[in-house]
Amino acid sequence: MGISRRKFLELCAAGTCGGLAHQMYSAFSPMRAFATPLQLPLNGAFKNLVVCSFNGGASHNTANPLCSAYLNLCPDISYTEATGGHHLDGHQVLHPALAYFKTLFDAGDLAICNLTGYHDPNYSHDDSTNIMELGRRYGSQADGGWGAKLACQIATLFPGVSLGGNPLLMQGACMPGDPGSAPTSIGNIDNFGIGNVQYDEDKTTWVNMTINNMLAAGGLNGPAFAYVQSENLKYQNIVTTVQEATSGLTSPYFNGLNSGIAQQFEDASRLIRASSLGVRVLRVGLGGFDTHSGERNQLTNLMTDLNEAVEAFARTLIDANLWNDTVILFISEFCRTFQNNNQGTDHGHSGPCFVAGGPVNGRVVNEAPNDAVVTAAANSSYRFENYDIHYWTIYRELISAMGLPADIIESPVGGVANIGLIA
Amino acid sequence: MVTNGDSKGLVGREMQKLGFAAVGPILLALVLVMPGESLAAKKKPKAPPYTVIQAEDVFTVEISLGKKKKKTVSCLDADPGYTKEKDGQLLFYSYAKLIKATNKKLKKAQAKGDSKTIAKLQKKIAGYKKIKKKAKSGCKSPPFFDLDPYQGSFGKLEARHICDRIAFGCSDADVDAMVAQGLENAVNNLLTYHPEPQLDAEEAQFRCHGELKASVEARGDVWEDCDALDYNDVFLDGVAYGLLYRFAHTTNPAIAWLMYWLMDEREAVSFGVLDGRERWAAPRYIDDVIKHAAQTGDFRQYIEDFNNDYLAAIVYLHLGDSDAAAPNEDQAREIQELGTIGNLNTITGELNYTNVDIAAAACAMAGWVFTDQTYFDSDGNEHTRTVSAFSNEKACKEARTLYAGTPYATSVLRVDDVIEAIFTKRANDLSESLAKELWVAIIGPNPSNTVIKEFAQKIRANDFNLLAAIGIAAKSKAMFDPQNEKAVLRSPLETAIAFERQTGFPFDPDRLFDRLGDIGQAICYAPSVFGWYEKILLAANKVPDYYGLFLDLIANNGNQLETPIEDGGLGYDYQSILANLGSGEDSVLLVDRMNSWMNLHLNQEQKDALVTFLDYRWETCDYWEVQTYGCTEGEKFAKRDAFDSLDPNASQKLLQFLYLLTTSPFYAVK
Repeated sequence: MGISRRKFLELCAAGTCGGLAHQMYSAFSPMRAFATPLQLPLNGAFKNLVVCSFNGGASHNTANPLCSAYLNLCPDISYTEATGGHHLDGHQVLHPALAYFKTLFDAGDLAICNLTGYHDPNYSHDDSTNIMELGRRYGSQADGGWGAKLACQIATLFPGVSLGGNPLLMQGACMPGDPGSAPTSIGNIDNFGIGNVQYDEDKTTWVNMTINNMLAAGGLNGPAFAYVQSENLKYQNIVTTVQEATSGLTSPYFNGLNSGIAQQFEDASRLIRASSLGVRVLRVGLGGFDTHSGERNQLTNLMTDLNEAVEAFARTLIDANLWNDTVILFISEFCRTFQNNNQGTDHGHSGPCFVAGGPVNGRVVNEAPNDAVVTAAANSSYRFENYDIHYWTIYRELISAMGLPADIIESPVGGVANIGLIA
Repeated sequence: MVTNGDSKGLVGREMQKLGFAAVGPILLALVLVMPGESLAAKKKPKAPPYTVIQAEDVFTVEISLGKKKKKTVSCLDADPGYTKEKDGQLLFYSYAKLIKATNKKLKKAQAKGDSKTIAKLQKKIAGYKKIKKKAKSGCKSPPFFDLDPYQGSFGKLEARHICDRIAFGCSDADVDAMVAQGLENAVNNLLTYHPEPQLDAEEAQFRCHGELKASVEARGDVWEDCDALDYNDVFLDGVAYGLLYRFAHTTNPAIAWLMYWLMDEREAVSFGVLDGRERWAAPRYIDDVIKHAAQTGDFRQYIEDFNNDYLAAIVYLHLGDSDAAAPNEDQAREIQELGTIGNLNTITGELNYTNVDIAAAACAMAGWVFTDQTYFDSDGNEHTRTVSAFSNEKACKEARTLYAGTPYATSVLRVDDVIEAIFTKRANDLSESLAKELWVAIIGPNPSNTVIKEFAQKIRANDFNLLAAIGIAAKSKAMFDPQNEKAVLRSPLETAIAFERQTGFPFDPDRLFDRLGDIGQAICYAPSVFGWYEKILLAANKVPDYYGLFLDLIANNGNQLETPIEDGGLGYDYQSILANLGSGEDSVLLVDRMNSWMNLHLNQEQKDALVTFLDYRWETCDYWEVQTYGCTEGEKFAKRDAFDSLDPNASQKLLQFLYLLTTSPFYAVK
């Protein structure tokens, strides 16, 4: 017996063709097969990776240099210790709202990688996001994101979950031609991806009650109808499984936090603590970083929400003895220019990248730009176009540390070869 | 490390207990049976008395065994038998084989002179023979596999069924026209292309700016035509929007559906592989390969066009820069596996070709190279586009033998030789592969080998014309057999387009494209050369996106449905669905109307449930309502609020109702 085209896809849908897919198609790019779903045991230095996207291009003033050239170029939007910035190493301060990040830094759980970027900079939000989330420079969206590829390596019930949206990072099928094998996307655990009818719970209930009544009234039968019904039921079971596994996993640290990013980090903490689900790769995101004008207030609001959310998340995992198994990688499609005429910043390229977590070898990695570097950048294109650390080096180090194959990410061009992010 | 104030020290890292143990053997087993391996014959072990099957491999027929005694018999193709589940496997026992095996036992018993056993076995054999005889004709040609012309009545129900199956769905007016024409003429009309220059012009506008010129001008913006002399003045996603718009608005819905089928069911491609200098190739592929094939039905021409197409074969399937010295085998494999005969023989399940055949075809297909071509737009600006050219230097130098060692052996030097071999020497295999896939798409699942062969013969007799083949299926008895009613799954794209066509409810093509993309069915951006598979698109983990599509485009009005066109909306008038209601029984009339338009086949109880939905709403009982409605304060109850089509707020309830209908399982099947 062989396997026909449709039968093969059915087997993929059933999740039994992982190795086979690679066997057949890895050298065959139209198939867009991801790397072999190895279904590896996770026995690396840590188990849980949370990727937090700063959408819109985060400013350098999340952790700005203290050299006079920089402060002069960003007079209204940068910080010093005197204006509330948190001391790091004397060459750079953390944004004043990032008080808990300072706690993490002092505890050795936060690394700040300065002048992180990628080769051939792209200043378009979309294009640059694609490059950051594909983990390769020349690919199309059909290739799928590196977060999805990573999740596809892990043999648990829900290895990859995207919270608060489903960006490219987590898109893409584990099996070629099988969008059904993509990581799970959850709006939030409570509504599990399906919104309410006209944003009203009662209307939604009324719709669902009616459909149930119709189904109870018999009528159609046959395998096609039975299939649709059974898949709907299966989905309900997934919802029930996740909701049951996460129910009761509350955390007092999130009390009173109302921001979207806090909601996502709270759900992330619930999913990680629900060990039966096996969630290992999570994506959360925070928008509003495209600060072309009035950056100071906008960034302060964003950093305040972020700081609260990360603090609640970290404290929750510390209590659950899971912080040492968890790393949060903060990425943004690009960093920004020096201050413009609207007290904002425009599209730039390289900047600081934060990596936090119990296993992290916390420190400033690559000292913040000094007067000479800042002046050169300002005189050339008014932004940092060069980079010392390639984003993909960070990605690859983290993936390797999880015990997973780093070649999901293209080999970086330039930058330091080894950062030593994980202790 | 950071702590919450109390020092907890380092947390030991849990070792995962997950591993290869459970997965490995399955993968290994699958790898061993995949195509491309040696065809060398293996010594067969002694055959068991049963065949291991999948549930869909068999169908059942009911036979009469005397007065009031009926029996359901399973048929594996034309072979009557019964099925039994054992150790998680479904086993098929053929009566013919059972008779043979029991006869052997009988002979042994006779040799031993065991009269009791002899009588028992003889009775058994007689029973098997009786069932086999009675089931023979039913298994050979059951009504749901009958390709003879349908002679029954042809009313609106039958017309809608045809529309659902070979078009994307039809409006009530179209259905009336079909009934007036009768089955023969209605199907012939559907399968005859009628030029529609206005729609062509509108599709071109989507390709240019992703929206209609009228929409742009209604907003007060200036429309700029794309430059006819600039090959790459194309908006790739707009080509996809234009296609969705065409599907929803064409007067040739069967031709449009065939375009969709070709893009999905044969070798699918993705625009995602094209770079800025290659954008010209996207509309070229749609027009010259897909549209042309659907309008003419000429399957051989389609295969030839696909193989010469820049996007399809040269870029997506890597014929570009394929050097005969080390040719790329992608298209050589796919033209056989997906485009034509299939990797496995439709009837026998044996491999249709070997890796040696792929290599031979790959050599014959080699020789395309990429080259830059300079051109000037209408303003005299210089541009470059990437095109392909054939290089004899890289082409195959010596003919090779395709299908060597078989009766189909053919010497091939160029791709035309390969295609000729497939369409002549492999005509049976090709027509059987097409017959099965068309049957499954149009009539119902799991056709028997007997009917596949019969249909295949008709496909060959019609010179591989797909329109002719679809016509035969559409006019057959099988098409209208109750067992094939609602037997085919609709993909999300088909469901959305059907809803637009049947009800006139508009979707913004741009938005529809995005929402379909969420599910993984972005037209023109197939996830792989396999295209889409309805079962996967409707699988459990796609449910949120499936609901999300209709939630966004209908109930929560992401379409900006009522917003005037000049303000960027769709300017929809609900009265097109609510017209001529207002008689006081609006809910009943509306339910009947939608049941009919959407071809839902709801029974009375289901229709009653929908009427209740329209005439009541779910809310919390307040203090003042306790006396009036007899509800309990603070608890939810269904409060009467009769649906009134003339009420200015009727649209809100209508949208909830339409969302309910589109997402119900009743509409996911056709």
